[in-house]
Amino acid sequence: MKIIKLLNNTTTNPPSKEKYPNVSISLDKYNHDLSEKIDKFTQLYQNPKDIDVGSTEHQILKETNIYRLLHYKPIFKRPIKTPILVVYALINRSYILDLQGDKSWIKNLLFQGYDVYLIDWKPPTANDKYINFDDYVNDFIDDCVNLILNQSSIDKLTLHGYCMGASMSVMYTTLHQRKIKNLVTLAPVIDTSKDTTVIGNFGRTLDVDKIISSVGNMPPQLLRTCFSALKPFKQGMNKYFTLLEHIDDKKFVQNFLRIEKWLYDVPPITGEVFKQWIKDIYQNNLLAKNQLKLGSKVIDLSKIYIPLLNIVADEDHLVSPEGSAALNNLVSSTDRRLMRFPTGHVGLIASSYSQINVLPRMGKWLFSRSDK
Amino acid sequence: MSDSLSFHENTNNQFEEVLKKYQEFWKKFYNIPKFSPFSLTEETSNLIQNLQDLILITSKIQYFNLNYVTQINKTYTEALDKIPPNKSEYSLQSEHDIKKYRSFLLGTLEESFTNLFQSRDFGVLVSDLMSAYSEYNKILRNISNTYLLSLNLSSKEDIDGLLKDMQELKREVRDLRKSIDIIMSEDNQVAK
Repeated sequence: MKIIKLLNNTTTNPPSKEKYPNVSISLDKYNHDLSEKIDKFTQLYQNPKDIDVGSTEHQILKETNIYRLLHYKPIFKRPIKTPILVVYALINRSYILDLQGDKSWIKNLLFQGYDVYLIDWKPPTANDKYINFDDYVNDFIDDCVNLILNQSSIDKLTLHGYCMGASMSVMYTTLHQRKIKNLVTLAPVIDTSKDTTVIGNFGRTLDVDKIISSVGNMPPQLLRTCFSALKPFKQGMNKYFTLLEHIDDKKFVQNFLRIEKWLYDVPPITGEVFKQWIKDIYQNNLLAKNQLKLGSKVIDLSKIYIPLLNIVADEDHLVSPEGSAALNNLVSSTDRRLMRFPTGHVGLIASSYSQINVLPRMGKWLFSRSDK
Repeated sequence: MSDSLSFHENTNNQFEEVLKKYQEFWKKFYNIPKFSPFSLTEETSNLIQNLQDLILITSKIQYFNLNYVTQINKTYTEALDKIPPNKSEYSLQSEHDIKKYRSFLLGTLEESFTNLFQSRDFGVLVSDLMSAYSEYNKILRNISNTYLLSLNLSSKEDIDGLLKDMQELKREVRDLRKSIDIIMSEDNQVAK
């Protein structure tokens, strides 16, 4: 084995002190520094509650056992009339959209003059396992939309979803289009026949009925196991080496821990939703085939005629960009736009890159299609 | 071995054959009358059957786990073999050398493991492993149910039935509420 041979070489034949005095001192120092850094590293992972996230000022407009509807305090006295309702995914938690001041998706939209609402899904309990997409779309999202429309005394709002939340926004729009002015999707899961991701591969072969009949809700442990197969070395392992290198940089460490907290804050997914997600969307591709059923209603994407902005990350290893981009060819909207960015799934929403490149372009597109 | 089947599917079929023989062998021992004075109680018969199933599924989990670990190890050694001979001469005499080597090593491992995780064979294996664990849980639940019933407590199936009915009722209430809202808003418009 080459690695063993290599390690043996380094241990049995260290650089000779006589021949390379500086090299030997430098490696000793490196080992000593590394040991100190590892001590500091272990101290960091003690209390996730100490890591502050979601600090943009907001009020809770409505709270049920399933969700909280948050209304962010507008920056301007007279914000743009058409409000934005952000529908977050059922995977991980919504505070990724407001992780920290300088990379907050929400704050950026507020600074662009928008009135922003967010659905923050709460972790479901064992009693919620029969809640399905029909409930999420036609009950919870619809309740939030109605509440915002009544409160703002307007007829329509902009629906804006991310990942699974974008797929749910698309489903909602096909059924309740008269309440929606614009649809803005970020990395939606649409045509899974074009999916080449590891998650797609696992999803296609999973006996989801058997698993859900055993566990009720899809447990976080199983979800985390699947996510750990995504870029396990370059991202999963290399990031900890990078952290060790920057362990004395307080700002870097805080930013790192916020993302880390979010990555490991995985709530369960209700059993019925997980079954529909895997069987109907990943295994049978019913959403793209216009055959997905929510209750008695069929989701027909060709019924969407309102302005659509679909934003896709070209380096997305969680949702295939080609599967997301397919949405633009499935709707009937004449005003439709596809924006592609050379970034990843999380980089699309929570990075300096998205602040500089994605949000200004999205804001500009939306501004011309919103009531002022 | 069929060429159209994957490594996991092929070995799995052979393993299933072994399990079948094991089941047939033990069938003779618990082929006890189901009624008459010579029979066991229904609970005891169920318990014996469940314990038998538990042994079978545990063997399956062991087999799938072994297959899983084998594939991971195989990928790991294959990845390391991809390091060209001259690369093994990394001097590792400075921090820069270590970083350079680390980056090369992680890149090689990443490529091999992503290929493994994207392969259909590995997907089927993960699915089989998860299904086997689910089956194991189900058998444990069946055993627990036997005791719950004897203690006059509801089984998981009873509670599931209630939860399902409750969710259906919630949906009916929601639909009724929305129908009423539509009628009321139409009435308001007529009144205006």
